[in-house]
Order: sequence, then C-alpha cells, then structure tokens
Amino acid sequence: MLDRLLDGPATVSQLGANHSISPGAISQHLRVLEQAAMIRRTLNGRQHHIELDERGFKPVLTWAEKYGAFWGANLESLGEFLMREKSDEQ
Amino acid sequence: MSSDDASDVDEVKVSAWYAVGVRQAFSAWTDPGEIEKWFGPKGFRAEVLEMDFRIGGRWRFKMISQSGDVSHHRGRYLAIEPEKLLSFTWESEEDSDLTEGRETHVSVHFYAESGGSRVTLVHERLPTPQAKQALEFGWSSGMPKLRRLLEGKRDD
Repeated sequence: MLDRLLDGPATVSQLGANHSISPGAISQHLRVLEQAAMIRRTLNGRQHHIELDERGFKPVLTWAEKYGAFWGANLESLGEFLMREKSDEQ
Repeated sequence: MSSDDASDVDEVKVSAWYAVGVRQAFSAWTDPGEIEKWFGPKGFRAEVLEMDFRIGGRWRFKMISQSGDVSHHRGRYLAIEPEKLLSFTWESEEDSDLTEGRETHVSVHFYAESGGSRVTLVHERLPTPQAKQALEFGWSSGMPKLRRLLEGKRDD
C-alpha cells in the first residue's frame, strides 16, 4: 500500500484493489499510518484521497543521512589508525 | 512484506576492508587506549569517559570537534564475541531529537577476508511500535524511492 503511494496519491478503493484484504482492514491500517504521520487524507466529496506525508518520513531520512556519513567517516578514521599502527610495527 | 523490509527503512550500513588481521581490527574497537587514537570522523577526537567492557556494561564517550564543540555518546554492550562481533546500544546525548529518546543499536561485524579483515557496521534505529506496524504493512521498495520523492518535493 505504501509502495502504491510512492507512485502518487490514490483513493481508498485504489489502495485496496491489489490486496485480498477487507475494506475494514484497509481503513484500520490507514488510521495507523495517519497517526504515525506517514499518510495524510483529504476529502473530496465522498472520496478520500490518500497521499504520503513527509512529516512521518523526514526524521528517518535525516537520521539515516547523518549516521551514514558519521559511520562512514569513522571507518575511514579506523583505516588510517590501523595503517599507522601497522607501519609502527615494521 | 516481512519485518526485514521494515528494518531496511530505519537502518544504516557501512563496510570497509583493512589490510590487518581481525585481531587488530577488533582490538581497535575494544581497547579504550586504541579507541581514543581513532574514534570519530576526521577532525574530531574522542575521550573514553566510561567503559565497562562486558555484556550489559555501560560505555560513555566524549567527542570534541576541531572548533571545540563537545558531544557525548553512551550506551551499553549487548554482545561481545572476540574477533567476530561487537554490539552495543547508542544514544547521542546532544542529539536526542534524532533518536527521540528511542534506543538505537549498533552491531560491528568482523570477518577475515582476502588476507585482511572486513568490518561491517549496522546501526538500527528501532521504530516506534506504531511506525513498525505501519511499515510492515506494504513496504518493499523502501528508502531510495522515498528519498527521491521527498527530494523532489524539496525542489518545488
């Protein structure tokens, strides 16, 4: 369902189209996603339009970018240290 | 749609190969004197404030940047397998907004490879139960596609 939303906004029935689960289960999952700020819902008449909500995902991306860079730089520092130690031994 | 898919979203993985044996590579991560000689990105230096090196034991490091900014990091050891695995919890005291008070786990794996050693580090940020439940429902393309989507929005 989240995969489908990566391609753009969808209605509730479009989201349920490729899943063999009940409309009740779909709406329950949508509520969970909504509470986690991962989707937002807009009403257009009786149609609910669902789209991804970047508020729920941004903290994860910020964290991943920061720590990816941090640990990458640490492994470089480790390499320089290990090479210094190695040349001291020789 | 397994829970493995969910963990891909909240995880960072880096890996490097070194022309030394796994004994030296493991020692660099587990000897306080050695840690202080390398830990931190270039331009930072580290001080080991506390290091009770046993499973459940606590550690706390101080990191100082070239411009004098100080940060503190702490956690406890979860697994210690000499020359194979080191695993610990990680909390950045000054960056609580990034971890939101949640536990994060770091695992460092050591492998003998091509006459040297490979070090692979995985840092997992455990999702809230709510986010985990949400992610387990229908997630397979994960980060790269999401990143492109959000970056596209940023450009608007």
